[in-house]
Amino acid sequence: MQTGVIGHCSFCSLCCPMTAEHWWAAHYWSAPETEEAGRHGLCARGGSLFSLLENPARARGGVLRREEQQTRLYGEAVVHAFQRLVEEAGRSGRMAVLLDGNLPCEDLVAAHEWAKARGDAVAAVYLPAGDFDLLDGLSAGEAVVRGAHPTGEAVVRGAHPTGEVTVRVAQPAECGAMLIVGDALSTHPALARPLLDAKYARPGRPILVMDTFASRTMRFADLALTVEPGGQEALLGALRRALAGETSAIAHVAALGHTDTKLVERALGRLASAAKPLVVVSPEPTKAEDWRGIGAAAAQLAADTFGSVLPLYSYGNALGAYRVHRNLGMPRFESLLSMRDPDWSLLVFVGWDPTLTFPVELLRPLHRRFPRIVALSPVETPAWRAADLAAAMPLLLEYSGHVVRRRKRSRASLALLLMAGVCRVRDFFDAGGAELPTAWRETPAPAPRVAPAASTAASRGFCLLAASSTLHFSDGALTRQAAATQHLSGEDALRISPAAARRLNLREGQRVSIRRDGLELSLACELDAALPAELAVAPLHRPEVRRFLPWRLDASGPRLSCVAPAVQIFPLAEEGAA
Amino acid sequence: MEITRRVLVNVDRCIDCKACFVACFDGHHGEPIIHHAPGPYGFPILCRQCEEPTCVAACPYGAMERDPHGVVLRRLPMCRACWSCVPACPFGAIDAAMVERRVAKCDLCEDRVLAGGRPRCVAACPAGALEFVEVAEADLEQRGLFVIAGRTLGKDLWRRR
Repeated sequence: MQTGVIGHCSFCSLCCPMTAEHWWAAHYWSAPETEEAGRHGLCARGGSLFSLLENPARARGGVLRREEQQTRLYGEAVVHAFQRLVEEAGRSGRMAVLLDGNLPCEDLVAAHEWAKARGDAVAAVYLPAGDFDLLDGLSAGEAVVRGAHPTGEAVVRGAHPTGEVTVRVAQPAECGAMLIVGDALSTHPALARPLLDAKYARPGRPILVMDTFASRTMRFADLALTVEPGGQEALLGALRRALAGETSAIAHVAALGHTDTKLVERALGRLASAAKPLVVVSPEPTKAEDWRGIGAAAAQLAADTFGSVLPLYSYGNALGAYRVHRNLGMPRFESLLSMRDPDWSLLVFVGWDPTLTFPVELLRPLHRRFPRIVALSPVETPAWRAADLAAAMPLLLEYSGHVVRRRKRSRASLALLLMAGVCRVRDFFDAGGAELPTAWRETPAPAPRVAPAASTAASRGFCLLAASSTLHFSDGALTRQAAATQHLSGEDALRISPAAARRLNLREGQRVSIRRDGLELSLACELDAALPAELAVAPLHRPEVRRFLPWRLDASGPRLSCVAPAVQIFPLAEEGAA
Repeated sequence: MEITRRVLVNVDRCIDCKACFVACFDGHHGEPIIHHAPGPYGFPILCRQCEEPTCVAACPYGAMERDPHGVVLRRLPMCRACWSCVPACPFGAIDAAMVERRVAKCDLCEDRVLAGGRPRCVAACPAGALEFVEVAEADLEQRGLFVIAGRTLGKDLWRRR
């Protein structure tokens, strides 16, 4: 029997190796019953991901969430809130509610049921397109994976029983202290064994954990810092200053982390005297909008303390929204972009708005179609700029399957605040938030459509869009796909229309040079009849494509965004001839 | 052949990922036969497979029995869901909900153990919180918390925190 590593678990960035056993070169041995854990040898999260390949029906199974009574209360609250918003709008006509896919499933279900019962409303869910595409791709890919092997069967197993992970953990057994940002043990269960081995091998080793809620990882902490969502970067900065000897920063750390100053002082004393501290950073990119800033702050802290960083970025909790979408037929928000009904009256964003994720150009039809827009989110977002009514309000969000409950106020945030009655707008908004416009404003004139810049050679000018493939996360450098599923995604190529290919005298598979402002990118081209003639689509997960794109910081914070740039395309053979 | 090894729960290592629950669920045809202690920091509560099981003595219908391999089993056809075993278990390993649904109790994955394997929950644990080891009487005190029953352990957990 031969055993070999054929791929890596794609669920988290630890990339546990997956091995296959086979007697002969083409004869894969399939015996899930003999596999010890019965879950492909992967952890609970990796196993659940891979089980979608094994049984796509699981993604369409029941939605298991909080107990029934809470479900009813939340559902009533959501319905009540929407009813009040319709009254506030004071107009008849159709209404659309766009809900963040990270909201608790009960809220999504309640909104969907409310919209169905009302008849003139549509409730849609939005998540980064890659999240839906990933789950869709995994569900649809099951038959392809099975068909790829001669016997129609394959065993892919992880290696966590041996504690082996692909990404080398920076010797947790040797480090003098650990600072964990995020719920690392829940999002990366395979990390639990090396970290806990290190903890119990030397119980005196201090462990600090910071997260937005009382996570399971905090159970193992000597000092737990519960920070407000979005405050991790500030807390890491305060920790840096405190470790550098700035005494006033200790109180700042205690305030940001909602803990006692003496506890912080004691823990920082142990952390400062520890040799080789290890900083484990594990925010979920689909949840923590400022994950890049958190990573940079953690790296800076590690550099200051001569420690090391273990960056772990993982896939988030899109499965709940995906199940609601598949079970109940709740539409994706993209379907609203193609609706042509003229009588829309109100659009409500609840949660993080899609402006943070989707290209601005794609969202313009929404802003043009709806005379009134309401944006409700925990902090100010770009959608506020186009909204008639925008407000900061605490929202319950799901992080890794946990419902985030901030301190006393937000324990009952959405449900009870809304159930108390939304008679006056200011009553249910968080007074501690940003400056709130509480009066209806006139709808701003729609912004002019931004056309691609004029090209010097019109026949070669294209608008370049970058898009994720079905099996890749938005950043291929952080999370990788299993080798067993790589053939599902096809070759990474620049997609253009056949008409454009004829115009440029290109054939399928020929390499082309894409140029913009002195930058150049080379890819093979692929013909896609569904594309307009002026559009080219590049694979976003390729690092060279990401470097080629004109990223810029959003006004709302440290999140990067990118507008489709104007590019020129040259066949490489033509360039050589020139 | 009597199975002398037992599943021990080290709650100090449990990350409450419920991988054991899922593995048990999968391995027993969709019937969960272990359950978790409630609360923010849960951990699995498993049958201790007592030598003199009080649940067997308490069952008026003879549905509970200790088989020749030393595993305490519930014979489903004979169970009348009278809940006598629930308060009889000093470790809280038999949940009322399990009895109501007449779900079989933990059988220590006898099929796998007799073939030389480990119970499914132990194999699935990513944190090393579940061990399948020989337990001698002398070890009991030394292991301290490891072998204390679920209810006692729960109280102790809160007290220590």
